[in-house]
Amino acid sequence: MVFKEIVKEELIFVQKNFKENSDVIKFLSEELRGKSFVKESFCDAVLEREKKYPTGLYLGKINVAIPHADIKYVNKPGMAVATLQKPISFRKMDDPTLSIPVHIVFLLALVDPNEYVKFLSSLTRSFSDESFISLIYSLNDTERFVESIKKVIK
Amino acid sequence: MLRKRILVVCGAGIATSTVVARKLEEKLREKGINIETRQCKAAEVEGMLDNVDLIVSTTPVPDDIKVPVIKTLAFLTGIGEDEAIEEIVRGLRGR
Repeated sequence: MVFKEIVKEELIFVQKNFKENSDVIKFLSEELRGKSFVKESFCDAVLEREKKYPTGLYLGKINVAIPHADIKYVNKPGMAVATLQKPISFRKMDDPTLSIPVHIVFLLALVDPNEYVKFLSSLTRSFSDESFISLIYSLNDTERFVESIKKVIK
Repeated sequence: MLRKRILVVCGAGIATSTVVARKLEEKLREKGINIETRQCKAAEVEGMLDNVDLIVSTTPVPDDIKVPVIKTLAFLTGIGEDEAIEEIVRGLRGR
């Protein structure tokens, strides 16, 4: 796995504002599609999955969402991230009847999860690190953003 | 020693359940418990229950499943992981 092929500065979008969670997903999907990470059908697949099996993760002060779709919609592994100036509602992964305000969205394009399990696992476990989450949420500098993520990936 | 079988469930059945399955195997091995994991999507659970001792899921599963279910994000985020492991160890002891 090559970190810099998955986490790229040009796919990090800081302090953006969107109307609804579907708008964030559409925006990030289009960015991934434009760089050939995913197929055109990826966006709809993610939106549909999010409706049935939402990906909001409640952490406390700053919450995240990890929308993704089946590997068949992906060409090569990558990730697009948006930090939201105004948090947007996503429903909780472990209780889809509840909504939470989400501040950081990680749109994941994965091919073989077994190959990327260390990356994914390091990433999702970093969510429990309050200082890491606060830090990346506060960043305006996408280079620093990438570097901060690199530090938590084992 | 018969290995216990845990069915790991998530919404899409691939990304998050793989992270959870690997973490479960690692944490239980540290406790001296060897498990076998299977992964599936929430929609497929009913058909995957053969010889399953326990279900660990990140998402709600149907109420009428006969196998004990532990719903948690702990193996994804690391939050509450130790408590979740204890609950799983207790759940497996009863089987």
